[in-house]
Amino acid sequence: MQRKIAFTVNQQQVEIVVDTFERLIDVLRERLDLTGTKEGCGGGECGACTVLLDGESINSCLVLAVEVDGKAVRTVEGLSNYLELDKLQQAFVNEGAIQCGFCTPGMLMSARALLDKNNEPTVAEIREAISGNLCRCTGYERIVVAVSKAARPASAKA
Amino acid sequence: MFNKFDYVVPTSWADACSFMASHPTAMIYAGGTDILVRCREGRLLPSHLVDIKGLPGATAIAQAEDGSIVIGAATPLNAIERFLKGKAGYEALVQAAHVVGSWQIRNRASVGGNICNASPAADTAPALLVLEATLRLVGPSDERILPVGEFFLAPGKTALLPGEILRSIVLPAPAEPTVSIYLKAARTKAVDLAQVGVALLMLPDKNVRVALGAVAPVPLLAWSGRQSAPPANWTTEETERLVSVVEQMVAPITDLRATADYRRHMVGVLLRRAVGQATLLHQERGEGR
Ligand SMILES: Cc1cc2nc3c(=O)[nH]c(=O)nc-3n(C[C@H](O)[C@H](O)[C@H](O)COP(=O)(O)OP(=O)(O)OC[C@H]3O[C@@H](n4cnc5c(N)ncnc54)[C@H](O)[C@@H]3O)c2cc1C
Ligand code: FES
Ligand code: FES
Repeated sequence: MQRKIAFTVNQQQVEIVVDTFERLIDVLRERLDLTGTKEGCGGGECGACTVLLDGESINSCLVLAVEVDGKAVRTVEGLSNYLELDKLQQAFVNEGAIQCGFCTPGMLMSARALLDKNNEPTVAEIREAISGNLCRCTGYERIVVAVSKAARPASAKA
Repeated sequence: MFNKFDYVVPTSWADACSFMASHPTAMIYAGGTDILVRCREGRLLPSHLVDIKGLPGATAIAQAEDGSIVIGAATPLNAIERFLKGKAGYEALVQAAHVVGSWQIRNRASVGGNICNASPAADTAPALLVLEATLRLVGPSDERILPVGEFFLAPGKTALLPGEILRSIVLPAPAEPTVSIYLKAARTKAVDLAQVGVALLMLPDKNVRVALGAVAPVPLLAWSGRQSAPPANWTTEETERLVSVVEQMVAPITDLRATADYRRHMVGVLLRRAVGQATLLHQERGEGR
């Protein structure tokens, strides 16, 4: 069974026919070539597939494509404007919060969802926001530092 | 990936019920965090997923005039936590909602899905039991109200009849100053099911309720009754009496998450800890008045 859906991805309007049993992650990666979003576990455990749906972080492996009809999706490709990295991405680079990088798109989107709502999160709030994102390389410390640096207003000291 | 199910968006609760009644292999779809995992593993092969999130009130949470709180069945756990945070008496549900899965899971996972799974380890179940929640069930021809204590029949089995849907959950206003606590033991801090879950509620009049998760075939109201002292004056003996009564009620199993012995042990550990936290909260509130 198929349905025609219309939604925005990174503020671009998309109209596409999807299978009713198709996952959002597959539409993003296979149909729209947005391969920044990664699939780790496919079962909600790892967070590599995290994207924003109407501003909230969700696992795109556990959302049906038909459900995003009329909604706004934001993926890691929507963070930078291709000239300049998003503040968060730059902080991840500066702080060495990336090793193999597989978890990074999901980490960035979870952190983005947090910072969009709360520009001065505590360390506990940062840990909470990325509680559904596994990283097998960094040990998380640099990631938490990067998120808090990206959060602080430029004038505040580290 | 998944089997080739169709996706249905009903226009009313009645529409959803009649669709469910005439399609025995259709399933209600809320946050999908449980259904889609099972479909992926081939353990579920629904013909249709019936998405109730757009139905009137399905994702709404509000306080009624009589002080009770009405939660649409498809309301995500994060929204419930936001709404109830700071409301005295409801702490157990706030804490239970908070420990499910991860932040992303809780943006989708609904309270209705959590209890309709009828998992013995569903985190919100013990909290709803001590809060004496009632469930509004709508069916193809009529609707009924069921106390949550009568909802869980066996692992994976609820009192829902064919075609029946959980529409909302009602939490009665707790007498002041009620306090409640939910504590969970799990192998990791996030993204793991409970090895044991303990919910405790203390009413101002010496009445106490204790409910348990993951130590019996269904979430269990293990104790509801009067203690000999009000919460503020509890002695160690009072606590130990409660622990030994509650321990009698459990019938845990050994599985990949914990052994039966460990579960039995943790019931006492968590209950003592919950009593400590609840009495402290009582005192703080008492002094604040
Ligand atoms: C990574 C991960 C971690 C998890 N961690 C936890 C955890 O720590 N604790 C915990 O308790 N659970 C956990 N879960 C399980 C699951 O996320 C929760 O039980 C969640 O609350 C289910 O809600 P849902 O809206 O996603 O349900 P769905 O998947 O939409 O539905 C679940 C079941 O309930 C039925 N259903 C849903 N709503 C209704 C309704 N209104 N009326 C009738 N039937 C209905 C569906 O048909 C289905 O059978 C986890 C799941 C994942 C993937
Ligand atoms: S791929 Fe979606 S959570 Fe792991
Ligand atoms: S950098 Fe390798 S998984 Fe996080």
